[in-house]
Amino acid sequence: MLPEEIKPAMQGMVPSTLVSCSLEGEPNTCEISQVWYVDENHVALSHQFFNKTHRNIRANPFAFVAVRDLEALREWHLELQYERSETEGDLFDDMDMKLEAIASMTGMSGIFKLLAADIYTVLSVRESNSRGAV
Amino acid sequence: MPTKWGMGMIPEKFIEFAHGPSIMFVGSRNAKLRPTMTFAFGALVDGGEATVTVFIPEIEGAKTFENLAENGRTSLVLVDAASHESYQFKGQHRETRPCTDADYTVQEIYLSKLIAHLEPFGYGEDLWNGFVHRPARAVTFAVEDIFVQSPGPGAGEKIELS
Repeated sequence: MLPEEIKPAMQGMVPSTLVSCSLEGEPNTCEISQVWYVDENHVALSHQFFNKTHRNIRANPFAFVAVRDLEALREWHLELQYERSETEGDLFDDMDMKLEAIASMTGMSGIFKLLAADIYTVLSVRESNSRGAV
Repeated sequence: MPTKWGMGMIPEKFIEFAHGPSIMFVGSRNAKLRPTMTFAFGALVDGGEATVTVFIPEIEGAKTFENLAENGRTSLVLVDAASHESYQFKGQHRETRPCTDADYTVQEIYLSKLIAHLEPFGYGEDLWNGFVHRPARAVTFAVEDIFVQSPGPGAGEKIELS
């Protein structure tokens, strides 16, 4: 489902935007440092804090994320469903290392700590036409 | 003092932030609690009435307009991309209407500030003027809560409305 062209938007060069929703119907929007490409049907998000997003996703697994490739000036919109969390393994180690690199680059070393790699199934993907490209 | 919506007033610091060069995202959800998001370009805050009006381009706004008409729950995130300072305004939708010339003037001023602010980081005119800003709709919502959204463990802290 995920096209090859989306991969540059998942390098963590610029933040992505994640929206979740509580069971009471309250949307919650936040910036996240990176969306990881797992395979053509899955992405991973970093679970760093026990925050509102974390609580929402555990209660209501549906989420929306926008990822951006500013070199190509393209934005992609993904509808997601939370599947599982991983706290060890290659994906977790890779995310942990890249998260620390992003934290260093943005002067936030020590603030970010990976608790889990949350794996999501991609329900839909489309390129945003906010620049009139489609 | 409570506003006519029964909320507290928006503190001056957050009015200034909303009128500044922050990147704006509007989150909403549908009847099945599936969320979505779109860009907004420019905001007008009425601190006394605790309302915020944002300008959402129609080209990517359809789902957001539909969600807000259906249930009204609104989440606006404002991000200073240079400093990472960020706040989330949550509340209830009040009105959506076509933008007026006055709204577009505010939008143009916003874009000029945003471009000047982010140009030194390489995210200037080419990026922001490439978006299709018009036609846009002015979406007003009553602010119920403001939360700190800057990255870190303090994210999620609620701001007291005065």
